[in-house]
Amino acid sequence: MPKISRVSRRGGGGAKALAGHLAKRASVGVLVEDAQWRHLAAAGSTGMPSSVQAHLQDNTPDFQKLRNGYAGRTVAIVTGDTRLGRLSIFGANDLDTLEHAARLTASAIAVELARESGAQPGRRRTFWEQLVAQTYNDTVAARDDAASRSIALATHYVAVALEAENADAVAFRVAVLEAFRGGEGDAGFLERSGALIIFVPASREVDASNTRAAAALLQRNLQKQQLEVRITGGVGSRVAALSLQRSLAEAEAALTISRRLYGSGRVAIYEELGGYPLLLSGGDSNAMRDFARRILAPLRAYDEKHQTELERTLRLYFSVGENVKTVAAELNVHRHTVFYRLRQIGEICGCKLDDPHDQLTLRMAIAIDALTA
Amino acid sequence: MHLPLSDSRRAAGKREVLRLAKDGNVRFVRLSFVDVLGVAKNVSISATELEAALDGKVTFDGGSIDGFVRGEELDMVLRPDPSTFALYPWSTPDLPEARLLCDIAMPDGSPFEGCPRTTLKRAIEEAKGSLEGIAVALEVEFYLFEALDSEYGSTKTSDVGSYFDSSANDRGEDARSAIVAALQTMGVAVASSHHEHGPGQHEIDFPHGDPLAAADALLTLRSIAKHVAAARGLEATFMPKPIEDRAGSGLHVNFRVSAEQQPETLYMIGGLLAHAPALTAVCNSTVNSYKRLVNAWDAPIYTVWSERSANALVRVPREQPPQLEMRSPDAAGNPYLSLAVLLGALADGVAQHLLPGDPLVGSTYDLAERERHERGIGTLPKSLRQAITELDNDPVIRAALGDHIYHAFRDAKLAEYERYRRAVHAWEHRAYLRLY
Repeated sequence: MPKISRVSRRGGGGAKALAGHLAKRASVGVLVEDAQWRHLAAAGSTGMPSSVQAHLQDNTPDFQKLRNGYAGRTVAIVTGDTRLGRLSIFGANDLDTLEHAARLTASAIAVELARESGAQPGRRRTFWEQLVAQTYNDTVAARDDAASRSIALATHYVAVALEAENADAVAFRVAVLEAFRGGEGDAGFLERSGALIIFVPASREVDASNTRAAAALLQRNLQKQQLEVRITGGVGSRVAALSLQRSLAEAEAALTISRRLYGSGRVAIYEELGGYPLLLSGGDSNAMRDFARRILAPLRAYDEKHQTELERTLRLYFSVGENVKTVAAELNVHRHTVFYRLRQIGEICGCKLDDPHDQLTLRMAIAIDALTA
Repeated sequence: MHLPLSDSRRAAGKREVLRLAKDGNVRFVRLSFVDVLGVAKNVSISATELEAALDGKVTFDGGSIDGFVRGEELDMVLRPDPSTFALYPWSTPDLPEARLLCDIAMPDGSPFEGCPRTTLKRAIEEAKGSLEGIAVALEVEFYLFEALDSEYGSTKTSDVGSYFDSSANDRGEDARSAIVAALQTMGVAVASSHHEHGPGQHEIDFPHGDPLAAADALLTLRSIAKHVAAARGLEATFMPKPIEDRAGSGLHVNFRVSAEQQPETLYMIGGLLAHAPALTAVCNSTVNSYKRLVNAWDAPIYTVWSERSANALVRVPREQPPQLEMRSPDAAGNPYLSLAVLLGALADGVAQHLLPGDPLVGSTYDLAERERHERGIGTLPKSLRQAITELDNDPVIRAALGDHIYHAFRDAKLAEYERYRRAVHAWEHRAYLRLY
């Protein structure tokens, strides 16, 4: 068998070239999947399943037979203690004689995968430090410098700040990496004041909302993996890459508020903390105006689009001491209509009107809006 | 898997089946199974052969059934599920007839990879770890039309009712009640039924149960509805869109999440949305299905979820325990395969921690292209051909089907699409015949 590194270079890169080489030399079908069972490469024409996930005997790294009728063998692709995926072979009469070749190919693929994902950690860290220090004049400069350090810079990011108690550092980082996948582009990592900072790529709004959801589920998932760790954290809002400092400041503020309001064991979302960040920072009039606009914006957009008067209903509801009968009389509608509108307001603002925290936020926004109008 | 056994027939075993058959003087038993396309088939045996059938000694020629086309599938074995034994409601005292739903096995008794019912059982087994305690309820819509002497059936109805209407002169109402009564006689629990949106359109809802029972119930409903309707001068059709400008008939699949699994609900929604394009090939498996999936009549067209929007693909009302309503499927497909791929998508969502983005407020039909892009909202396939391509590209859903069924289903559906593509439709005559 020729040197695997040479094969890899000639084939134009990693797993695909190596799988092709093994398939050709051993006349077998080869399937390479990553740790999440995503297809990485396939070669050889022999019938093989789309994934071996359902055909594993067990999830050990051993070279093992596949079950459910497939004439195949599979071996884990491993680097250190981390499993990166699986290499599986199919079709030949005596697959057991190919164990050595399969293991060798899996090792080579592990090196390729590790090389692709882990280049130059020190230089990468410096880039993120410079980005949050706002040392780049424009996006092009930031993107060029990122590219020179093998970082694909996304257009937008969400900052997440996490503190962990009793954590096995490596296991915790692996779990965090798994939780915050984000969208297109590379994630960034920093450590600041004892907190792990993750910059999650969020080119689209959905990446940001999924980051928020992942943060909310993180503690439970760590427990499910039997990691004895208690985390406290904060998630900033989605910002353009050059404004990462703002998201970081929000994430750190959310972390502080989370710790003070709820103790440890919870990750708070800055955008869901309502008026608390304002109270924490003692914001100036601009910050207050921005806050009020941000909170009331979804309601105003809905009113404008659908010609409704939800904002007016909400203001009235608070001003008359939450008396639905009075609101109905003032607006000349049935009280069921008021209940319906209040439900709509909750859905549009993503809050519960009977929740004291949410109510504080809405009341503050309305009060500030009245003062700064 | 959680089995809410409100339905006592599920407890039956071989001895009990033999006793029930004897007590009912059963003369014939239909051994029913489905092909890959979901079409019900049966072999009728004399009651004297029932014990042998229950021992898995009845074989049939699999070579002539859609999806069972290989040479080695000539002598397939029928393995009746005793829990599905039921007397047909139209049995007469002198000719009592019963049915048993069957799995299909290889001649050596091993499970046959091309059996849809076995495929669903495997999906349930594989989902045990990640979907513990999940229960399935179905809402099935269908039309009842006048039975006229025409080659392809009719779409004529004298019914003028709409959503939840009760009309004294509507024969469909009576037929629907008779269908529900017949189902109950056969041991199939029905939660409710009502008139649906379109004139002649009805809905029957099955309560939450295990997925296999749900698929069995739908298969039974399709057969019972046709029998009962025919006896009343009507025709029942589960065709997804029988009339262009009326509401289509869907199959809303409700998944009730157990208390333990509640924190995983978002992942389950994520799984349904991520795999929705490929699911569509199986859950909307006719060329006609795609005429229902248009921006009208609250049919879903985007991969989006919502708490309230009636036209979202997945609706998750703020209820405890959480319920996920998958709204795109229709009842014309293979119920076993539809539920198998849906379970596969749910389980993958949990395994891969797939997240669905924020829920949508308002109608999905109002979504602009830019908003859809930002929110990561995709479009459901617009044709069976597109859906098959999506299926080809989704290893998770293909794995849920198994390689045998995937290939058999794909080949059959491509051929169906090609026949449709070559056909000249009435619309084309109206649009072009005189114009050009």
